[in-house]
Amino acid sequence: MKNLKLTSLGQIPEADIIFGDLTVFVGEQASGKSILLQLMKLILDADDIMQTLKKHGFDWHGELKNFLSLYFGEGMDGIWDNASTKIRVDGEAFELDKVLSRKRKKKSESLFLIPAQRVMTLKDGWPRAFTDYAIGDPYVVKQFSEHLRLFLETSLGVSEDVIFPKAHRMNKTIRDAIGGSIFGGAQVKLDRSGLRKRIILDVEGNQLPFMVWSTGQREFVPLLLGLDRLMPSGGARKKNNLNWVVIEEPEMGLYPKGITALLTMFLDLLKRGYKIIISTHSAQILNFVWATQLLVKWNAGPAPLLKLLDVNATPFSKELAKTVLQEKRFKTYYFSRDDKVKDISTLDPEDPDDAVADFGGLTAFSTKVSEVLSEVIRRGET
Amino acid sequence: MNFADAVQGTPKIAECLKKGLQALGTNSNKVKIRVTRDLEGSVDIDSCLAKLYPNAPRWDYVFGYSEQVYYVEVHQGRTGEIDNVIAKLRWLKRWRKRASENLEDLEGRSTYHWVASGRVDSEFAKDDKYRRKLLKNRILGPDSLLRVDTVP
Repeated sequence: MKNLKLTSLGQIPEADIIFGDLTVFVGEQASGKSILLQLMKLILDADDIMQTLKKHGFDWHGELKNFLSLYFGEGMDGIWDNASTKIRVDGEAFELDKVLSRKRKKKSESLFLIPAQRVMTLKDGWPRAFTDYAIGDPYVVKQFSEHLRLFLETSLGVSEDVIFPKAHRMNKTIRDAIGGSIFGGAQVKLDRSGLRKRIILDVEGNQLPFMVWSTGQREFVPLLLGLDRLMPSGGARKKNNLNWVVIEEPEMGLYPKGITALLTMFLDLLKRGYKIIISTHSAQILNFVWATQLLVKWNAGPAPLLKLLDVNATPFSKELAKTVLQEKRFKTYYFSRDDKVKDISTLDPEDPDDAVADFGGLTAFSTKVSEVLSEVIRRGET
Repeated sequence: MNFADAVQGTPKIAECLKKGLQALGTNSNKVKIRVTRDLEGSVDIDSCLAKLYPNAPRWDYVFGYSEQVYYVEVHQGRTGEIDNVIAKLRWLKRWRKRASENLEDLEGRSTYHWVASGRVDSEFAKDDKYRRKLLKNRILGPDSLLRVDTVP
């Protein structure tokens, strides 16, 4: 999928998205970012979604509205109107009622979505099963949770307890960045000593259960597990047929240093060949995108990008930065309620449109601080 | 080609080349140099070209030091002045493209600095669009003092 055009879906009156290797969605709450991300999964993985729902005993009885409630969640059946909702993917019409009634083919997922509600997927330190959720919970939350559960069930050997950091998964540069900034050197481990398995944090021999983790750690562990799944061991670059990674608000609960570590991880995913789409409220992520675009324009080498990410220059990290600067391109879109989605990819601070110059409003407050203080100084009130 | 040769090969400013930082006059105290013998001369662009371009937003100074070229604009260090400083830089680059192939050739060794005429106002936030406007145009500053030996 290179281009997605739509009219009238939920809060989105109109959108024309051209995807980059990294595509960033910004915008206020309830402006349709999450709906559009879920729509992408529906477009790419419709057959797998329908098979998964059926497998777990769900049935929409051939009704579009029922399917919308099952997929997008309870109360979301009104986001789609067959008369006005129009969707085109690379120029071809996507008609959901036809997709739902067509003969399903066995097809594996090509898009992995890490939802904003990820903290809810771990119950007492273990991922909830698909059917453990309410009928009206969004499909993408159930499916993400199920993936984590299966991943933990199958990816660790019988005597293997350490989930993170593991030498044969992720490059050391990435492991060190994540381990140092988010876990403070602690290990994420599988605890098999009780009556039921659970994930714990091991801090210098002290085993901390889920409920005493910091907010950031609780938010981050499901994200880490999801990303870990995308970085297979044994030299494989990518996971099976997965080509797209969608992450909603990756910055949740993280201090800026943790976000920086996460950005390094994103670069690794890009180099592996995944296309990434994120929705965010983080000015730091937009600053990174803007700065990287300038480094590309200025033909800068890998060193400034690594400095930006607090990463030491190693053969791995230099190759990572070089690949991103030379081959990967970024796109940014701004969502505002009841207005069409706007391409703000230049992020040009001199653009007369504040949506572009102020990163879709993410830096509007600091700009306002400058303006207000400047005015006070000009008036001689200091 | 060094800085002095480049200036002397540019008819409109050749006669304005001064030794050391003399062209900066009293503003030379806004530039800190470690090895003064490595100075290659300076030009007061603003005064030198005032008659030719009386209404243009003229850039202030340029000087050469240790094989690098430093363009300096001494200007109020306020957020509200950013667009004026950028306009001066754009004029400078347009003029240089027309008038001095020699200085154009030294672009790879040139940096642009905004030095505040008074104090730098504290309203320069770290991540606002004003700061980004300057960086996009490769203008460093505003600083109250240009410490040449620490320019990256």
